[in-house]
Amino acid sequence: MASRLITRRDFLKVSFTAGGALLVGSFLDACTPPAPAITPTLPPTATNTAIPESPLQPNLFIRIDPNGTVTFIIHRSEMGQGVRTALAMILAEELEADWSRVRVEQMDAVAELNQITSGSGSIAINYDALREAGAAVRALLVNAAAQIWNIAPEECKANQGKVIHAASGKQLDYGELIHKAKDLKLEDVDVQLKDPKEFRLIGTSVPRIDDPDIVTGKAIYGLDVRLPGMLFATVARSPAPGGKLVKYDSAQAESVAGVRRVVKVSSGIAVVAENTWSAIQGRAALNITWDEGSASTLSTESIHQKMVETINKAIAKESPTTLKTIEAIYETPFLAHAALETPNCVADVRADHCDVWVPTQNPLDVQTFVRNVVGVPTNVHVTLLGGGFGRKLEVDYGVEAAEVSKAVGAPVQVVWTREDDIQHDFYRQMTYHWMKAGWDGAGNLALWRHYMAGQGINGMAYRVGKEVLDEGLNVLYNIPGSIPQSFLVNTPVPTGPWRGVMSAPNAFANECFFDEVAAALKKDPYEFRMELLDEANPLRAVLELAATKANWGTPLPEGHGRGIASQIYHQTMVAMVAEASVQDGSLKVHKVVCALNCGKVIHPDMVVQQVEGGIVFGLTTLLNEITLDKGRIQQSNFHDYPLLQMKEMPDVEVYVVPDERAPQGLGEMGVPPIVPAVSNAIFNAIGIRIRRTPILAADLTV
Amino acid sequence: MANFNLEVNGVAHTIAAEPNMPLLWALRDLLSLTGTKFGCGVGMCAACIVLIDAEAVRSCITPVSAVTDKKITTIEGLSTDGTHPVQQAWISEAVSQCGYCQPSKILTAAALLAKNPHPSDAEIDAAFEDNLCRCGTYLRIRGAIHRAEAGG
Repeated sequence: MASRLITRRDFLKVSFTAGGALLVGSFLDACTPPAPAITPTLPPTATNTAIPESPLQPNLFIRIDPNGTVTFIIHRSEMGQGVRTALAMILAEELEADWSRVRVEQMDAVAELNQITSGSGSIAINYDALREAGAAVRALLVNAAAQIWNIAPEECKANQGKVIHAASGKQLDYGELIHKAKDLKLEDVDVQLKDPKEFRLIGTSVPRIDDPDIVTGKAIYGLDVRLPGMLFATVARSPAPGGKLVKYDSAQAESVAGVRRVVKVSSGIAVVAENTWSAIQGRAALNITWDEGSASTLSTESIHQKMVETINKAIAKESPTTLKTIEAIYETPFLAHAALETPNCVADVRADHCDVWVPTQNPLDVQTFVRNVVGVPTNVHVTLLGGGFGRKLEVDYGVEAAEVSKAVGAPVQVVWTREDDIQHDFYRQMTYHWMKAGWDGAGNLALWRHYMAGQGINGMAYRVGKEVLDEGLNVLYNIPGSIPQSFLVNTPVPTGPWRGVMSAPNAFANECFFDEVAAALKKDPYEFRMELLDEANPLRAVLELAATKANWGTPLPEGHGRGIASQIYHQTMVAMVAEASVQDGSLKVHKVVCALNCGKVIHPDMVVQQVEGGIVFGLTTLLNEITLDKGRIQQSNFHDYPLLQMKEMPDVEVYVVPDERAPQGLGEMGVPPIVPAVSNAIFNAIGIRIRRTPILAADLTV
Repeated sequence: MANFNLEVNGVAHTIAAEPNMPLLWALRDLLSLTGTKFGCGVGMCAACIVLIDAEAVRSCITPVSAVTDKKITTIEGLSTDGTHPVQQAWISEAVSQCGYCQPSKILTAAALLAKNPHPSDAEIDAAFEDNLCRCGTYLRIRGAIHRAEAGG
């Protein structure tokens, strides 16, 4: 890696700011591929263009102030996964910065940078580049000190924000070295990455950088942006996708106290007011008539029917077999993201430029779409996200704010209510899975089918075709005659990536049906998995650790059951053992033991947090679903789209299989195995198979 | 539209609002105290919790006209510098993920501990009924409350 730095002479751009700080610009490769499987469709001006040869604009910034404060300008969005802390740790580690003097700022949208926060990829994609940048700046500072002291740089060592000359006891703070460092050239210094054995920050669970602001209410999410003269808006949108506006009563809305204007935007009618409450009241007074057109015949049942017909056609082509076989159907519904912070955006459109403050996972697409609407250069400022989970990859709410601000000539915050959020999401796709397995007279598996139907991702900015359905479609175990196939059944229902994406429903079908096969063959489900994995398969260690820590095979209290499930996603292997019981038709998940191999761990406690969060996200899918009737979403708020509560939270234990390979994805990994692990535990407890989520009380009654 | 006197974090404010405007929007939009969050607008998620005379109250369903003679405490007023034992415990237990709902969780915990200095897990669960966290920080909230009751 060091040699690569030396060949790239423009790797660092060193300059001074007006305030006298050293500003080092470096480069994160625009061409670094995003995490596999989900490939966002971007306009050609955005992140998927090849990195140009030169000149390059730096897109990673490290600022060192004269007082020694080190500030990293972070390009990925913070939505609870801890990325601002974790990426800063990687840079600080190689820079040998004093962590107590490290600060983080959020980068605006920057062209030619892979700035999309998705696919559990922020650390996996940026780990090497951040280490190289940190190491290069450290080398400049060490050489600066050596020149001041007139000694060889090899005699000096960087240590916690200082350069130290051990022989003489001399030391200089980074802040005292910036003037000298500015005049050095990268090609004249020796850049060495640290030996990971010397890491003192990576691998520790330091408090998150944003925690002090969060616990005092100072943290600024999109909804908290306040500008002088800012107005507030709500938007009335068609209750069915694609519906047309027939008429509305703007006079009635404008008569509501605090309402300033009613304006048309591409998604519907916006009510602009002096405060959010007036905007909500004004919208309620619009009395809109919609023509819902052809979408008004759309229903969950009609979509389900299309998927059944598609899969049945494929089944009809199956050859007869002499094997002993079993079959089952697994199904999952549409799901809403329901981040606690609803979609929102502040736009300030002026004659010659536009500023946008937005909680987004996708600043570049917001910039492109907004610029197309306002026709002037657009700066996108990324706030903290009050949860994202994939919803905030979309640009719809950013476009709305820009249209409203342009129409009224003032800064405007568009606020989505919870009802807006639940009814106008880009949903996780509804899925339908046909499973079949067969074995010979000796009980050797020789046939496996997983035919899955669902729709692609059809968002405004984020679109993925059939390949999204293939995420995690393959069964993980060695089964001869395994044929996984996906079938696209597209509908007008808006869809988007939802934490775990299609890996979760596919794991539900595969891992539960594998449990069914194990039961039919009278095999222990854990032992049967191990039997069908090669000795060299690293998933074995993950399954074994989960089973061992969960005391697999030991007696449980009366009425309790254990279930095991596994998945590989974003190169991370994960296994869970859930313990559950059912009483009077009511499910209780008592405990979940998780083991995983995610490669190098940056922050051990964030691994645990992400697993806890993924388990909650997955368990929530046992409670809720989005359904459509006459084209309309039937749910609207937490009374009919419930989220998991504290009293329903199981105990969670997380164990990591140590592995020094590069760090891999984590943000979504807790989601795919939890539903099959719990479903298999339910079977173990009461002998009932769960083949559809959500689980209804009637599903749990014998 | 009428004038209402609100005492928020020990400071007297006079606001002009409709009597039925929820306290949530008065705090956020009229006083720019944005630490109190919007989550559902119907009192089902508790992201909007504030303390009113030491009770944890959902500000999204509390009209401003009902709180004119009360002492209102928002997250900005729980302590001036983040040193309230519950805030400190929240950092020590690494509770927060996205952090959006945590101000309301902290205020709920502070109100609970003021009344019940040593709550059981079941009592904590009861105090957090319909108090939602989409990131799933529930285990750590319990842990932080126990840490705070033990003196941090």
